[in-house]
Amino acid sequence: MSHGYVAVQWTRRKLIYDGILLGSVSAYLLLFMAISHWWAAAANVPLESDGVAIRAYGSAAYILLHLTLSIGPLARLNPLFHTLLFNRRHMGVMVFVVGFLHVNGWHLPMEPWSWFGQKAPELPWSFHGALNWYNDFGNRDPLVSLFTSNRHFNNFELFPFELLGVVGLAVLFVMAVTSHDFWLTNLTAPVWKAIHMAVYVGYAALVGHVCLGALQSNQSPWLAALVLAGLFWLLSIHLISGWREWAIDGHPLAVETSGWVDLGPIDAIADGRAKVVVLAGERVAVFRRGAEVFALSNVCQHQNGPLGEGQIVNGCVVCPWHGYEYRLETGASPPPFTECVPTFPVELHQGRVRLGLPPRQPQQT
Amino acid sequence: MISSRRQAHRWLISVLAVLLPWMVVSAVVQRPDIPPASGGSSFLFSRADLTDADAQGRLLSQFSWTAQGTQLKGQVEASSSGRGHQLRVFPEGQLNVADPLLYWTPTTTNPVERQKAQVVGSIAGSGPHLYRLPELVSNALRSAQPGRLLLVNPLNQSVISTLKLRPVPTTMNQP
Repeated sequence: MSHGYVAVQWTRRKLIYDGILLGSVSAYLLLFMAISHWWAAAANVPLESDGVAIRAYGSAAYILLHLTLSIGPLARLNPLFHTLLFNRRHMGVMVFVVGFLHVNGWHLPMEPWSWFGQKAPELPWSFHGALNWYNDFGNRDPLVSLFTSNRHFNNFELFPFELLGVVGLAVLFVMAVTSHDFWLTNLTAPVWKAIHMAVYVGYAALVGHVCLGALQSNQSPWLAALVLAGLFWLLSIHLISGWREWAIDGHPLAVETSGWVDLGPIDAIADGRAKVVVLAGERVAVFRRGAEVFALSNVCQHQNGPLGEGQIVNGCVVCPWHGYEYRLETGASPPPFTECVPTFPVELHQGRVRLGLPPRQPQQT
Repeated sequence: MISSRRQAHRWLISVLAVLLPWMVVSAVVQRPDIPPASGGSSFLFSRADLTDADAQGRLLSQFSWTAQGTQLKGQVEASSSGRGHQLRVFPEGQLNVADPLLYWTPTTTNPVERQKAQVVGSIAGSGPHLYRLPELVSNALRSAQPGRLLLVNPLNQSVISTLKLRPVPTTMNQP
């Protein structure tokens, strides 16, 4: 049975998050265009407002994509970034929307300004996107022109970089339309996460789009330096956070003949927190609450977030990503929620924590 | 399941960590000193004054120009606004050189000195192109020495092909 669609349930936190996001993007776009026009006027250089808008939206989407892709590894490295993580999907959708406007442009009516006797500002309330601006001067349909005009696939300098942008935007589109929890629930978290890993393919295509496009026509060393810095930043934090994760996976525990695994003294686990270990190929979060210990799967059922990095609130583990809760004893979410995670046998033996197999099937109480 | 996904993530990031820096550095190192022109190049458009070109000009002369096996049909038109001349070029196929530039030169000697030539615009993309001709070119077209059009490879600035222009009637469109 499929899950029904429930519209986004806005909370104060989400509204603040999205408000800051929208305000920041708008401020960037307005500043980019205003400074470009001011600079051109000062240097007495003619400037096309459409071209400036295309660059403003393109660079905004590119920067925002870097920020969006940075949140995941940063949250792995420092829990402070969980604040940004909980609504990261809205940021991803914003990347697609801004990227789409870069391609398509938009047309807002200018009449409202004239109603108040005001002249419409010079900023592009209406501008042609990159598709029309660069492909609509001929007698071919812009889309046909986009896919057929440049066939220098074997030439690095003249490569049709626009097509790489098409690939990147297509990936972002898939990410955006499947970002809602409706798809997450129906596809299941593992499938959904696997699909969304394609964002790295999209990112690679967009780096190519920028390198073979903007970096070829704009010879400024600053632009090249910024593109390189963004790339190294993103790759570095992914590799650093990845190494930490891979180091954990690289030391799986072996089950002793007694059927238990010794995890060391209970004092090694901070009260109210968890120790994450790898057992039978998956991660287990062993929580301590005073003199008691509990073991649950480390994988949240919502988005597979790391439960072992969560805190204990009212007898429940709270996932640090989106706040999903699971009871320590049973692994079941408190009613009316129905999510469950497997639990593991765990005991205290002479002051040491011992973990057992097999896991208990998740069940709602 | 999730550990296999972490493994896939590890491979993906490792590949990108090699591939993407190589691509960026290669793109920067190999880019030409003179960037390939595009249809949206503001510099070329402003030089060609394209934004003021009339959609409907009055035909003054026509020419057919074969460059690297591709035929370009063109015509010189009198601007209906009386601001001189405009040039319309129709490439009948895709040129072998991407984004070639169109220059005008007053010289009629060979070899052509491209350094003395003036940019008219870019023949980037497909379809017809319309260029507002600078006053210097407009005056030359009305004289006995109308000069030549040059098709230039933007990568190495080499002249691909030249076309000797014919004078246009002087009775109309005096600025």
